[in-house]
Amino acid sequence: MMTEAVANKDVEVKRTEELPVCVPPADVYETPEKYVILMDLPGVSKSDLEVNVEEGVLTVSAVRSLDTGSAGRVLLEEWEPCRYERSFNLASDCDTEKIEATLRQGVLTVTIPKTEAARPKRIEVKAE
Amino acid sequence: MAFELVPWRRRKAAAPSVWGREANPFVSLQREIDRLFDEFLEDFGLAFRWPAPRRRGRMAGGLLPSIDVSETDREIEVKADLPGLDEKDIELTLDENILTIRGEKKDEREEKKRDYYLMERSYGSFERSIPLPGNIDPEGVNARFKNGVLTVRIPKKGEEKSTGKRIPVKTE
Repeated sequence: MMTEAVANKDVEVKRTEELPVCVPPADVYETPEKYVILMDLPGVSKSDLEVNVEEGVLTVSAVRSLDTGSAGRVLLEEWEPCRYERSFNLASDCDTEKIEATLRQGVLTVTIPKTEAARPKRIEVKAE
Repeated sequence: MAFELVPWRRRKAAAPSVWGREANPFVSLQREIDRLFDEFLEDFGLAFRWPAPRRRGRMAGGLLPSIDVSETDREIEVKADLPGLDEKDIELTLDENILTIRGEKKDEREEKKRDYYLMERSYGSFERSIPLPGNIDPEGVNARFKNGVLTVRIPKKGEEKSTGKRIPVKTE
């Protein structure tokens, strides 16, 4: 029994390592104050998701949980288990300290505010 | 795979005009054809890149949400990728063994004036029908929506052995 459990675990680990990489579709846009990245990650829960910033590169990686529910006979399979991964080079005006990420119904939203210096400023005109 | 954050608008403005700087019009034509070909292949996931990026869950231009269907002795399970939808945007009907998923993905991008770097996700309405085998119990259908994945479980009817009636053979 014990041997079997260990063997199964090995199979699981091996499978995760060998998962093919999927590039999730993304929208990226810029406003005067921030950059926003929207990414479709269906089937990914918060615990399976990682968002990292290292040396000006933002990387999103996630594994779609392999719960097949009833785990029965497959009649139609249009997606295969995969590891989502995508990186973005951040522009120099990104404030990497204040990046926010939210995951909602399979969509990841990453908001990257621009540095104070890069934001548009309104200069008061004084009358004399 | 890293992506330069340079807006399309600016990139276009910086690019040389086709007839201006490019001395040979045939070279520029060749480039344009190559670019269109690459884009076309990429749309079908056939771009010559390694490792080939896989894109899933695209719904625009007649492309439908990805669906998995599996069955056990007791039930049929249908899973559909619907990232970004709310449960109230999904309409599910079961009519004469045809399960239909309808929905509308609304544009959640609030700002109107923006510079786009990438636009790969799609918005709009879609409809997809999945034919199911005959022995299902429409009363027991159970649907739940989590992390952008819709899971519908349709129980099968109990084994009805009455359909095959045994006819005794008599001797005369």
